[in-house]
Amino acid sequence: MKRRTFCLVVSILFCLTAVCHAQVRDYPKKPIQILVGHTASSAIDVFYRLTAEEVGRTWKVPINIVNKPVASGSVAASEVANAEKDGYLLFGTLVGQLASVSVGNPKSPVHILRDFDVIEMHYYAANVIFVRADSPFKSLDELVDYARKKPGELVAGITQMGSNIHLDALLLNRLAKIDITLVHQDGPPEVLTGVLGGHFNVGWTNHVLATPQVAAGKIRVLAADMKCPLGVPTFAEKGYPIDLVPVMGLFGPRGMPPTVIKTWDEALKTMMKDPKFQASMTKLNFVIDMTTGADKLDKLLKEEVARYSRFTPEELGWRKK
Amino acid sequence: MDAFGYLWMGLSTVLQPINLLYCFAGVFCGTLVGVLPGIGPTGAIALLLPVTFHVPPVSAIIMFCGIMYGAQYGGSTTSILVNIPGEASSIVTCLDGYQMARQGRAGPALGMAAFGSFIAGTGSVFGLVFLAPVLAEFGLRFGPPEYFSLIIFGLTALLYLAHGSMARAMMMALLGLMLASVGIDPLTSYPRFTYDILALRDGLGLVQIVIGLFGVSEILITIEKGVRRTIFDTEIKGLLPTLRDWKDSILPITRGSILGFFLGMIPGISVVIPTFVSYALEKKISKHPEKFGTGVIEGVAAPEAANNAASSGTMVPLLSLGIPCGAASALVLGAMMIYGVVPGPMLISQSPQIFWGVIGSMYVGNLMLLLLNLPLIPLWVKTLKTPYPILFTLILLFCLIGSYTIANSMTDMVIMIIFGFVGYLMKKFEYEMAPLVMGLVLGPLMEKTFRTSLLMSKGSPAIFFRRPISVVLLVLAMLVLISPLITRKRLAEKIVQAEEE
Amino acid sequence: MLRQSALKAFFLFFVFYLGLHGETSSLADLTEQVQTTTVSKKLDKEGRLINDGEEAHPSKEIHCELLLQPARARKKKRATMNKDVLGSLFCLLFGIFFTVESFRFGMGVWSRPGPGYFPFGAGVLFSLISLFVLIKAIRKTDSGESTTQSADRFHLKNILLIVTGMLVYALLLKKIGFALCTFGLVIFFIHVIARKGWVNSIMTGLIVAILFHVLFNMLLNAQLPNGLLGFVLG
Repeated sequence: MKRRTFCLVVSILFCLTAVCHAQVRDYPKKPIQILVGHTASSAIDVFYRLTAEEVGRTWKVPINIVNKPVASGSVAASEVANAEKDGYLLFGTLVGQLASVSVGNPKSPVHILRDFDVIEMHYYAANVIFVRADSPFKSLDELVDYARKKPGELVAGITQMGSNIHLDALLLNRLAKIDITLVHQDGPPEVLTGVLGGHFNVGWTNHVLATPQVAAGKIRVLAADMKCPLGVPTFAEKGYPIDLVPVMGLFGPRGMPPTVIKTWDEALKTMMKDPKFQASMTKLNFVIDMTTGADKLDKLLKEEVARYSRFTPEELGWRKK
Repeated sequence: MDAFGYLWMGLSTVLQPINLLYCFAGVFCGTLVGVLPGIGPTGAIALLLPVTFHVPPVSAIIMFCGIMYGAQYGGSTTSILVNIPGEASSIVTCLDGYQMARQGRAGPALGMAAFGSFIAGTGSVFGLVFLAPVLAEFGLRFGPPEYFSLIIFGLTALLYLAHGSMARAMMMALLGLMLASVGIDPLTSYPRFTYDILALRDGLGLVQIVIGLFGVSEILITIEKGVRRTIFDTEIKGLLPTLRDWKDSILPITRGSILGFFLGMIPGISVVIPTFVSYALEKKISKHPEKFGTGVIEGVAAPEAANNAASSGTMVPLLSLGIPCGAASALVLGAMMIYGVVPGPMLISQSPQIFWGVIGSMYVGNLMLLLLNLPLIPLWVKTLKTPYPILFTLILLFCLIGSYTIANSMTDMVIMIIFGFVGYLMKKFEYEMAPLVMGLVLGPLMEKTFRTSLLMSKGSPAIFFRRPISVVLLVLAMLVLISPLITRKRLAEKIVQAEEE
Repeated sequence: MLRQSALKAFFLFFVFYLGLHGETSSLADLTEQVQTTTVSKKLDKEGRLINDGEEAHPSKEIHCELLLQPARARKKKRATMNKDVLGSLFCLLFGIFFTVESFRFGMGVWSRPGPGYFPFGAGVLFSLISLFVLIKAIRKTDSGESTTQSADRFHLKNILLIVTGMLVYALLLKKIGFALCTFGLVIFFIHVIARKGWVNSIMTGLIVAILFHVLFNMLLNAQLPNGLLGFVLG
């Protein structure tokens, strides 16, 4: 008897909650899900959680973030590409990863230009090359000169195969005609420890991580691939057009109704203007440069893909050397 | 203000009622999350992130630390009760903890895990207060060659984990190494053993394998012949550790704490490794090493202390250099950055109240963990008396859901199920699982550091012998390897064995 | 692709052999048991106390021996194939497979070890040790030392049922949804494996499914798929 009453009560509660989910509006009518192809608390994850919080509050609709870092987000990408075109399942990622797999892996089930509609793209950080504070290299030119004289001697710590940093480093070797040995580490923190501990001569990381270290006088940043608050010259200024700046993007399956994209457009514009959001971005040391609007995005996306097309699949990390 | 002054300031921040509430909430969520395999502190903290936007930074960070500790302790609870490690750091606790539960001693096991963690936590707070700046530099000295030598040293410790045949243990360790190479090779991006299955590109996954290997296989073995009413036939013998338990555990806890703290400080060493090393150390030093694996309290107390101390250890490089080593500290870093706190060498001078607030909260979190969990022990122990049909169903469901929620992927579930079957086979064929897990954990690190070292030295193996820390570690490893061959005890054993034959 | 199928076939063969071995062994045991019970019954009727057949009447003792001999002979023939041998043989074959595959990945050069380097080394060591264990096991069984005990039997029925049930759950989770799958699995486990009645199973299934949904999807926001019930749950 007791058991049955319990069952009854639980079932009633269950139905009540189901009812509460009903909404009365145009897009968005029900909760939205954003798949993020990165682990929790990575830069991409943090950004989209903050976005979800802001936009979700405006729309009064829950926006849920689900992390699916499997295979650098490829599984999540396929899922979204094949999803319902109603705008309730979206994909937030580093554009570079999606571009890289589209360009470098002919067997890839998704292609960035063919299977997705872009809602927004934005820059948020620059990649920088740095040395320990007591290193003899005071500028990029000195580093390049030394590398030219002693090819293969310098060791640089970089992040994973096919990442923006890796490709930047490859470009530097290629354009400056030097040969710095590249050693892959799991992520920027490991690169930092490697350089600080004296195991690598040179390291690459993003400016967000570099800034506090520079402020504490532990490292010296030599150049960046985009203008950033550190005030160092960009590679382009030095004569090496190295431009694989990380770009984040929010994607949906190709063929979403224009209302969906428009609604997001407006919400994002409002969000960017919101001083509270701007403040949290500054706190994170992100330098947000967002693009919305279909034609602008189209152009930007094609440019990004072109950047990755300069590399062979081996370099991008999709085939054995 | 001197260190203690700062700490007092920190403690008084934390002890404000509102912050205590946050701490409690964190610890509670953390324990819950830790009990459920698969959902780790990462998930919990990511989940609670939006909630904390409306909350002062110190309070939020306090809550996150609570979650981290809670998750660790929750993981131990499931290890002891049902042989399923909720966290990677609780794997070793399964070995003796579960056996103790089967003997009706789940209460003392849970209790000692809690106390051990608490004592370790207290000790490491002092370690942080006094040693943080000095130690941070120490951690930096570990480059790829030093890591490799450290792992070699750790592997020799593996020899003492073996319960039965040494050859079989080595086989399992090697198998672990082999399984760990499934996935994309990080240094050349070459897909190894993936056979075009997309989800295998990230490798098999430690948590999925362990849940299956330990948890599911245990159920399969028990159910093999049929479902009995209850499997814990023995009387529940007491709910708290006895005086004898305390006497046996106090030294292991001390050793585990020190070991865990120093190992945790090395960037890149996950919290799993200190637990294995601590267990192996206890077994080697113990007067009754053959009892390890059958339910000795030292086998629970030491690793639990080690993993707690190691977590605190990972805070050292984070707080003094801004470098996170491991998932939990990366999370805390992320959380701190959201609140505009810039971790780094400047943290202590720029925002001392945040730094000491974190330290204080870690301590209070530890204390709260103890207070929260001790009264719950009778409840946990009672759950073991659930009729087995329902119990095993729930456990298997937990395993399934837990493995899914790791990365929202079905493949993880399948991997877990397969390894559940493999674990069953291993038990039947009498192959041990602990060495396999050790191989799985150490394999990738060993390979990566070896190849990176050779890259750095342009192919010369001399790099391992030219650097001081590396040489010391290798020599220690050699000593550990030869020591059984020259001790008289081993000789005596051989004589006895010969007599038996 | 070929390698994949080879692996699958190998695995299936192994499981099949295992099941078969388990079955036939238990059959032999059964026959032996029947024989020994018949023997002991005969002796008991005589009213003699038997302690390991020591005090038996000499003729009866011979009778015992004669009866038990066929069983033992049968055992001896299969002696080489007990579980230690089987286990290490399987490991050896796996090790060889793994080593060969790793070699294909490429060894690289000293200054840049390739992807196959480490797995190859591990595979070689693994195979060597399995070989060593295998030889030891064969020698041990041939000398008649170890006899199979009841713990060595493989009662695969329950195991296969559970594993299949869980696999089905995993495969259907996304399509049918978490709540329904849980409901189904609980019923399967409680009714089929624990052999409780239908009412019991269905009630438990309902309670567990609802509780878990509340716990995971609502409280913990674990994002488990809703599948068919999506229209209700959003």
